[in-house]
Amino acid sequence: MDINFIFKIAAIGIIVAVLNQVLIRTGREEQATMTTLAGLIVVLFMIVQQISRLFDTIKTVFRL
Amino acid sequence: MNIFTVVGLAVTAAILAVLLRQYKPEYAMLTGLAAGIMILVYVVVASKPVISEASALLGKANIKSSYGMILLKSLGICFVAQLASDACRDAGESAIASKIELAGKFAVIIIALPLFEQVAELAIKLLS
Repeated sequence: MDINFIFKIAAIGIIVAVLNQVLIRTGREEQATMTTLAGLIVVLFMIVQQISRLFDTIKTVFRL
Repeated sequence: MNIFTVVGLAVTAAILAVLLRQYKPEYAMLTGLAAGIMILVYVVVASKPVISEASALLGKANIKSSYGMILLKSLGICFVAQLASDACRDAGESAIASKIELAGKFAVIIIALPLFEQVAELAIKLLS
């Protein structure tokens, strides 16, 4: 149970949103898309690790 | 188990998700999913004493431990299926969500199949 994880995801989201707008304003649409994609992949990796932790916990507790 | 921890985490995550939804909706969904996973891990770890107490009670009542195990397993399957289907519904994919629920129902039925067989055998014994 750590709230820092949720803060991390929210911070990545805010940073990516700001970067996206700056890059679009300066006329680099491709880089803006790539930034969005990279941020999404990073967050997905973090989430997947937590999901595997959740599954391990449920497997041990409910003896599945 | 501290309820204020869960409440604080949930409200903070909800605020962050609402904040992110106007800029990047996909991150709002991931924030919600992360909060759900954190709370579920917390609840499952906190419910360990409840489960051990329940299995101890079942043992004292001379009920076969395999029956309790089936109940426990179906509870775990329900938790996982509910988490996934809620995440899909939040993302606006209610079709996938209902399919996950269907899969969860079938998984529970498959786990409980031995019980159905025993009930049927008992009924046949009573009839003959």
